[in-house]
Amino acid sequence: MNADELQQSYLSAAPRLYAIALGMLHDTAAAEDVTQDAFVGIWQRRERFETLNAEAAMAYFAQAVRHQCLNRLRRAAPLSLDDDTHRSAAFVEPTDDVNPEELLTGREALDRLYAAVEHLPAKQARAFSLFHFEGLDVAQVARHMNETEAYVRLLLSRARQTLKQQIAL
Amino acid sequence: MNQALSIPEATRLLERYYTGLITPEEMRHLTDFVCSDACPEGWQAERKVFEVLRQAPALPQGFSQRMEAAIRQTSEPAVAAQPRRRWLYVTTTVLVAACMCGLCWLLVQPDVAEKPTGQAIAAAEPAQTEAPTIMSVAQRDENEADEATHKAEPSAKQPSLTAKAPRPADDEMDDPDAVYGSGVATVEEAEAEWQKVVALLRETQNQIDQSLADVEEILRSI
Repeated sequence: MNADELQQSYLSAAPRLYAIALGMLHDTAAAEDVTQDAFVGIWQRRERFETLNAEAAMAYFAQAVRHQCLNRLRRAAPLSLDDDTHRSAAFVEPTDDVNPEELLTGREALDRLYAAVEHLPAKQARAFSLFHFEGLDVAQVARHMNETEAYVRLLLSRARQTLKQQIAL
Repeated sequence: MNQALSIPEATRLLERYYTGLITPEEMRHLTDFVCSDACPEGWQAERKVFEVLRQAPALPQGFSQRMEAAIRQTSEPAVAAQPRRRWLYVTTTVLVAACMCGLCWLLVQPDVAEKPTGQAIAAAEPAQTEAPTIMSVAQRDENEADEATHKAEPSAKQPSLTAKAPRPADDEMDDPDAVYGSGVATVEEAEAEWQKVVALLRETQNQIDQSLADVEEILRSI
């Protein structure tokens, strides 16, 4: 993939990478910083992506984010076990009330959702991510993408129908 | 709210979901309904999707914009540096050429003063010829005993070429070397020295002109 494709691919994968970072760091600001910082290192090595496909690139992205998170954890002070402010429902620590198998299934399903979103056409993936992951309405998505509202609704409609087929399998 | 949502209302919202018309608020109500026990049996595919969507952590507000800005900022500096370096070379070359032009202009200035200087030399000739006249007059008035004394004093008096020669005293008129020094005693010698300086300046000017031509060639090649 060339430089433009690399940028678009990283933007599409950003929600998933953010989720990985949030799961490791339990801090929204730090997770966002790591997601952005990981791209700096990827961009400096962009020549490696010329021969990689989208799936291999995604694996590289995820690995880069995990490395950044581990570096932060090594430098940071120990986290307070009582701090649940930024904890996500998808990354709740297993307790007696939560079945580990269900937790793993949930994580696998989430990964499958992210992978399905990343395989959508770029504009559909962007519109879906902005609406469902960032909570923007159609008008805000249209402004962000510099498209009309009617076109954004069309993108969302197609993305949702495709995902229904992918996730339901 | 999810308990209060009826199946017809949920069906309407689901239709709005697939046509892209649903709002974020409506999406939350529909998600709560579909993930609850009230979800109809025929909605299993939607239930799988909505359950996974509910698990996904919400991105911070403005996340995409910040990501795009960070990506643009990371990508752009390597491209912007090249035009900046080119303008630096051009600016530096233009400044060097301007400095050399200023230097040439300053060195050319003595050529304008040459004529007045020549006039000054011509005007000085009567003064120089005046001195021998005065000296010859003084010589007639002097006795021979003073000549030996003045010949012993030349090392003490060495006026420079450029210094204004002081008017010799009456008792020093019979010895030109004592008054004017051993460097230049006549107008002809001063003029010869001056011509040497002018030739040197002209040679320097030619070298500077050549350097300017080289700089212009470099500018054309950039």
